Amino acid sequence: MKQMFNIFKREFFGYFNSMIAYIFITVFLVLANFFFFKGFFINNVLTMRSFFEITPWIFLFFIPTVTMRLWAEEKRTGTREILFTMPVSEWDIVLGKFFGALVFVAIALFLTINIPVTLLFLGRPDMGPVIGGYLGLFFIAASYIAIGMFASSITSNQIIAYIIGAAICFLLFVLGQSFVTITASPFWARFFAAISISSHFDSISRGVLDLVDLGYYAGLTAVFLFLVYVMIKKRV
Amino acid sequence: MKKGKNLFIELAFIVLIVILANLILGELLIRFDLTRDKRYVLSKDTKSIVRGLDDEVFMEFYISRNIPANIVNLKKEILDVLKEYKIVSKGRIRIKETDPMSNTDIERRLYMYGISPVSVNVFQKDKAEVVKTYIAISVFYKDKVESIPFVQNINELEYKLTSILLKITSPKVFVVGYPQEGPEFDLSAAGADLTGELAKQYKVVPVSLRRQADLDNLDLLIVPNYKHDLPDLELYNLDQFIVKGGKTAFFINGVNIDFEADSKANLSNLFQLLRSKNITVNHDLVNDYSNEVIVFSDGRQQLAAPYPQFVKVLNENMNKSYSSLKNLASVTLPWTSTLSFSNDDLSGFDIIMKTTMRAWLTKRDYTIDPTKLSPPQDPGMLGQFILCGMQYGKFRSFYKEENIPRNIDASSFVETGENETRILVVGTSHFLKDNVLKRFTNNKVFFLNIIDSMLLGDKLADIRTKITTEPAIRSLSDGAKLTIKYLNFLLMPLIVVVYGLIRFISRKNKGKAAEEKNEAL
Repeated sequence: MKQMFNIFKREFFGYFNSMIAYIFITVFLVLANFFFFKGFFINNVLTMRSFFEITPWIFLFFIPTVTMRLWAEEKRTGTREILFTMPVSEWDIVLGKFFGALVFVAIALFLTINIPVTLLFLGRPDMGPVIGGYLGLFFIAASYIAIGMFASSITSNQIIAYIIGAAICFLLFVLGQSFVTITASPFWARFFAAISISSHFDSISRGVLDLVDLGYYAGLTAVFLFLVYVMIKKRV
Repeated sequence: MKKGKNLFIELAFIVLIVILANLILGELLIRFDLTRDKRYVLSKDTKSIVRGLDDEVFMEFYISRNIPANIVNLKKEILDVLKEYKIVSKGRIRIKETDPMSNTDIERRLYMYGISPVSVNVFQKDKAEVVKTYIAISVFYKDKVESIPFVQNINELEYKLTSILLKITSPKVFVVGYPQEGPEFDLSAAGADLTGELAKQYKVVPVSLRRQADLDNLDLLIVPNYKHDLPDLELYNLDQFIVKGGKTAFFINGVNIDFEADSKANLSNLFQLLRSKNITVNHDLVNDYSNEVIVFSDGRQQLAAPYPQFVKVLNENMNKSYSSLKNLASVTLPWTSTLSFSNDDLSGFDIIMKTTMRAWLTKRDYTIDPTKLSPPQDPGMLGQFILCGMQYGKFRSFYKEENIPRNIDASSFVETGENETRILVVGTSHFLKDNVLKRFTNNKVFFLNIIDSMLLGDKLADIRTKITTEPAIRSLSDGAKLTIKYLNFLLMPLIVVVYGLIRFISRKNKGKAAEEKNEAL
């Protein structure tokens, strides 16, 4: 546990020691605020629905940039070997890196707090879907990070890690979108909806916490983290 | 090799556990609804109605086996709702899923219930096709059957199912009437199928105010605007209906809007009748800063602009002691007039809807031209006004025995009411017109809720308001909107950039200092 916390600290503060973290967060905040406030006063409703619709798409492109370096860079610079000679288990390293990235993305998400504060200032919004939406985004971020870490663990090239990570996230996200399910047979439509990140996010973002959805995100994250563990174990 | 094999087995084991856990969780139907009005779980009112069932209810869900892919989710959502009814009923409600297309006898039976297949679009093999399918529910109670012929989405499903339960298990069916000849418009043709919606819950009948017998069996009478005086007999019958305890809802205009010529004060004798019940509808038009945007033509082009005479009544200005209004985001009242109510020894009143504090009145010269409705220069002219209210209690007649018109049979005349009743008044009938109802869907919810509230209490209203739209933003000036927008665009990114720069510079300085220290050593 202590070792995992040390890895977590190393990863988490590593983001803020380079300008990349600030550029990432700034661009994310500008995009999220821009897309939300663009039509906010025209729609004239106190809801964050448009924010929760667009943010998973923004995450699709941003989270792989956070995770692409997690393993690929260690491999490229050769620090991976040093890491594995330290008295830490593979799981400590995997989870330390995972939570480092997750807390970093959670901070970026937290900095959009100006949006719900504005809603509260402008009336009496229903905070249930707002809380649900943020929880859903947090779970999506956790899944994307696990997937991105897996992509980073299979290559030493950061660009390839980014492309593979973004492609898997994209695929799992769009499978549940109506423009995909509408063209599939009933069996495949059901299957796609069951394994898709977006269809499980739909009900959470409406403010309904269903154990099925929570179980799905926990399961997806666990499977990809285990895959990362498998990849490391294979190469040690 | 063995290590790799073990890892693979472990991975397969984890995937299996994840799939099994998800399947089990799906069956358990455990969910937490975080929304304020608990809109995605059954409401308290539905639960109390379901728990109060005195006999078994059977709900049959008709869905074709080979449904198009785009309906797969809808089927799951409908089944979830039905399962919730079953769980809450503790065995009083049974549910069954049936594929009507598997047997022509079932299809024939459904035809008797008024259920027929619906056409839906499917996309298969790069082609758009139309297929027939069933998505319907029938509810059976004793020897009664009520059906929902097509479940389009689950937004209104709880309302529809609960109103069916209430209707088929209730020993009394309330009768709602509306005058068909005489008012400015016929309610059955008012648009958005208002009478059809009411008929799902009540017996709805057109009446003639000329015939006292038409009014005798009514529980509630809906009176849309009259532009002219009512004949003596009709006014007398209406007065006696109220005095004897009939509930009445008036949707009446203080000003008759004329799009071709000047609009004029409505001088119908209905106003005198209402005054005798302590209700005054004033001959003015309300303008409010809280309003809707309308599209109008200036002769050359179409323009969209805020229109102060389309008053947008926000939830904060509604009387929340009426739970039917508790979750209603807003109601739009076009060309509405102010109301005044007063108490006496027999009756009291509730204010139901008010303007914001920044409303003003147009009196005498009733212009409705959007380009001439600027707010008053003097802020003292701004104020808050009553737009809808309910007078309750017993009522005195508009007539005295000696001044009843001679041509009327006054043998059963009652001068002072013995039964308590309620009179609802809204200062406009325009909000019930087709084009307004289509654009402002909350108006229909308000109308149906307030009628339910008068007849049933708030049993169904709470469920219906779950269907309404999100709460609206409070009225703001354009400058305030722009400030909020840019503050949000810039504030947080700016904080991050400034923090990043400070940290970057301080780290650089620290690094420099460390370097210098090293060099010195």
